[in-house]
Amino acid sequence: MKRICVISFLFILMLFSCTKTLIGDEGKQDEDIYLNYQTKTDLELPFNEEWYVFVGGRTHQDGGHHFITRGTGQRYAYDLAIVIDGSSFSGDSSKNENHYCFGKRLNAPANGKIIAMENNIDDNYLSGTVNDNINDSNLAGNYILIDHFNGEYSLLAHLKKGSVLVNLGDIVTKGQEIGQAGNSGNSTGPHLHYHLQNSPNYLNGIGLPAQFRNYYEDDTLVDRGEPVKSQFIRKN
Amino acid sequence: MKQNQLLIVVICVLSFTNFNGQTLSKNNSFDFSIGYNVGALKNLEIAPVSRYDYNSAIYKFKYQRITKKEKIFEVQLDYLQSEVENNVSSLLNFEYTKIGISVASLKKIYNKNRLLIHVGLESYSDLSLYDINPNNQFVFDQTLGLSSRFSYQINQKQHLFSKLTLPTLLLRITNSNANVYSLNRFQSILWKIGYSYSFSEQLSGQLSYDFNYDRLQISNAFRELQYQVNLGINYKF
Repeated sequence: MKRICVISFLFILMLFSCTKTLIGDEGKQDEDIYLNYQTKTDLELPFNEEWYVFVGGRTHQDGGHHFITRGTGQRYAYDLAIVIDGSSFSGDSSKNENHYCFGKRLNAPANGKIIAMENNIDDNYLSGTVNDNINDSNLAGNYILIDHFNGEYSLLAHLKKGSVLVNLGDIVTKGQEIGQAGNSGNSTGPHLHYHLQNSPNYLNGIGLPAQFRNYYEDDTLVDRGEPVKSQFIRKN
Repeated sequence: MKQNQLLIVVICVLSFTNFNGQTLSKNNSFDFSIGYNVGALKNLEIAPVSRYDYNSAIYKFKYQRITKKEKIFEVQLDYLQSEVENNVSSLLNFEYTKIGISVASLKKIYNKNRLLIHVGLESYSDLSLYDINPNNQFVFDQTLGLSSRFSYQINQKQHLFSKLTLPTLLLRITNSNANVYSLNRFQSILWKIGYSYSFSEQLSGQLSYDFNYDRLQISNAFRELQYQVNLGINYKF
């Protein structure tokens, strides 16, 4: 009886001492990225007008749903649109054309090579509703994936059908027009989804913080920074 | 303070029912316990944090029925709520609630020299809620596994017991997906050991220790570890 109690007690102590091993080290790389990552690419905002940050930032509140999408590169993703007088549209919100950002010019945020793209997915017919043919294979809708040759890759998603101006293998330069904002894929309204990831694979990899250079956030000039939710941002 | 009041109320209720239940057979029992949980959590789908820690009270309520053939049927409800904390950033802390229901059916396979052994199947349904405004997240886990229960009678009033469960199959549903995992991806162990002292034919007290561990080897790695010390009462009727 005593022996059983002693053995059980020792076993319990042994289990307690193994906590660190049992929880493991997975996620240390994610922690390091969260705390220390400095974007290598010289990024500029990929549009010419003033846009509004609907999703962006490093908290669950600011980063929104992107905090639950590790493995798809979206942890630090931005959802951006144009907002005027407190609204992103005028008139009937279900029509894509009534949204201020729909069809707006999008630029390459930095130099690089086009390594993946899609240009033929219909924009969602009704803003607010995703088309029936959208599934796990085409969540980004029409998109452009750019290799920046330094282990960083930019993804611009939900572009307007037929608006993409570049082809696979093209070399693009920072500021070059590459397409137009749209509402294709898993998108509930016209907007630009932008994220930086560490992998050349479509929606696969670890998301990286994207620090842009030389832009205004809420009329304050920023030399290098990460826009966050509720800010108005534009290029200098 | 609230916990103490709750415990007193439960003891009073059970004392009353004890008085009124003298004529019934004693194949059924209720357990109620309050414990202290020390937990560690990793869920990379939720946040870039390799380890969260949380400490909290845990409440357990169990109904057990022993059939004429000495089969055991058990249903247990667990509840805990705690803030989980990490060393990376306090911005990534959140309120965590876990509600679990387990159902077990165990058959007697050994009864000799005061040692009683049952084996069977056990199912666990756990709902984990992550209070992350404005996008609250949930994880629902349904597991099925093999379970064994050991009971050793020290004397007429005291016995030791232990239960080991090895879940082998997991159905996991989250806000973003649903998947089934077997032993190559999912490893889990639940172990309980305890001591029971009978105050009367119907009422006994229990002190137990629980060790629960879940590991899911996927891109969004998940691991959870719990150590629990529980103090409870058992009422037979």
